[in-house]
Amino acid sequence: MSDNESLLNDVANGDKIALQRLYTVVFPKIHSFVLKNKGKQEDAEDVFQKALMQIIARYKVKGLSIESSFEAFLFTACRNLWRRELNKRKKVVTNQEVVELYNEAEDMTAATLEQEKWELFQEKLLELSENCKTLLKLFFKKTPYKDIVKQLRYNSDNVVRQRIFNCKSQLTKMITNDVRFKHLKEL
Amino acid sequence: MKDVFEHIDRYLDGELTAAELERFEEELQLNPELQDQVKLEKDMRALLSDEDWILANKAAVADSEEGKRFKAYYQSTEADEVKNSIAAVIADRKNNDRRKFIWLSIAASFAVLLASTFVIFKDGGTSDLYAEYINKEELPSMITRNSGGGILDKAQSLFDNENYKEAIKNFENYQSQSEVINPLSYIYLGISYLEVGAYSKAKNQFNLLAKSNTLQSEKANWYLLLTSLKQGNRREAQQILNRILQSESSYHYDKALAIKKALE
Repeated sequence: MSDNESLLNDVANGDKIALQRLYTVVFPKIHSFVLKNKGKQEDAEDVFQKALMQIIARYKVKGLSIESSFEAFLFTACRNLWRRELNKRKKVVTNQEVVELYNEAEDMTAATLEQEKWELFQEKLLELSENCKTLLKLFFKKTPYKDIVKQLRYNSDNVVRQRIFNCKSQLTKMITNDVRFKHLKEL
Repeated sequence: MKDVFEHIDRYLDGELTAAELERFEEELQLNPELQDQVKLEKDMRALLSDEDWILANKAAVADSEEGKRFKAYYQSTEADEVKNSIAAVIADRKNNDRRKFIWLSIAASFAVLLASTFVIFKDGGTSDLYAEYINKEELPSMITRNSGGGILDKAQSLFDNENYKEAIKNFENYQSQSEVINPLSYIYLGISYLEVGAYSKAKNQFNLLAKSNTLQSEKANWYLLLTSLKQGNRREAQQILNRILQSESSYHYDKALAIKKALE
C-alpha cells in the first residue's frame, strides 16, 4: 500500500491521528486562502470538512488514488469548493438564476462531480504544448487579446485569436475523447 | 468546424451582430450537437478561470449513475461518523489554539457576564431563559416540494402565526399519516407543545428527533434544554447542559455556555 493509499484509508475510517496531522498541515493554508477571499473562520472549517468528505467519498465509491501529494490534493479540493461557494452566493445575491434547492447530500454530490470535471479539464490543459498552455491560461483569465499580443510579442490580435482557436480545439478534442467525459458532460 | 468554434467564441464574448445572434440562437435551439459544444466551451471558460465555477444541473446529477453512488455514500451512517470525527478534530484543534487567549479575556468577560446576568435575571426564573433563547426565526422552513407538503405547509403557517393549538393538530396528523417523517416536524411540534405547556409530549418529540439519525438530530439536546428551562427544572437543565458542553461542536455550544453561567 502506498503512503497516500494508507493515508486515504486511515482518513476514510475517521482515524483521529491522521485527521489531526492533515489539519495541522493543510488547514492554516486553507484558512488564509479563505480569509483572503471574502470568507470567515467558519467558512474555512466548512470547506476543509467538505473537501475531506469529498475525497473520502471518491475513495470509498471509486477507489480514488492520489498521484500528487495528499496535502496538495486536499488544498486544491478546498480551493475549488470555496470558489464554488462564492459563485453560489453571488448567484443568490444577484438572482442571476434560480439557484436550485439541494439537501446536503445532493449538494455534496454535485460538488464532487463538478470537481471531477474540473480535474479532467485541468489535466488535459496541462498536456498541451507550453505555448498553448500559456495562451489558454491567459485566455481563460479573460485577458484581452491586445494584452496577450503585447505580453507574448505576437504581431496582431488576429494571430493570437487564431492560435487560441487552435489550442482550444486541441483541448476540446482531448477532453471529449476521454472516457470520463461521457459521464460528466451532461452535468 | 473552425467557423463553428469562432462563432461559439464570439457568441460567448458577446461579439455577434444582432442578425448573427438571431441566426445563431435559432440554430442553437435546433442543433443538440451545437448545444453540447457551447456547453463545453462555457464549462471550460468557467472551470479553467481562477474565479468562476459551473454549478451542475440538478436533474443531470440525480440521473448520473456515479452521482447516485456518491449520494448514497454521503447519506450513509458511515459518512456521518467520519464527518463527526472531522468536526471533532476541528473543534479540538481550534480549542487548543484558542486556549492561550482565554486567560487574557476570562476576567473581562466574567465581569460583563455577571453584570448582564444580574440585569436580565434578577427577578426571573428559568422560564425567562427559555423566552430569551427560543428563537423561532432560526428554524429552517419546512415548506418545500417534498411529500406531504400540503399539511406541513398549513401546520407551519399556523405555527408561524403562533396558533399553536391548531398547529399541533396538523403536525400530529402529518406525523401519523407519513411514512417518512421530516425531522424538522419534531422540532416544530415539540415547540408547539412547549408553548401550550405540554412538557412530556414536547420531550417525546425531541427524543424522537434525537433518534432520527439525521442532521437535525444533533439539535435534540438544545431543545430538551429549553424544555427543562421552560418547565423550571434546574437540575435537569444542568444535566443536559453538561451533555451539550462536552463538545464544542455541539449545536449552540456558545449559547449553552451562556445559559450555564446564567444559572450559576
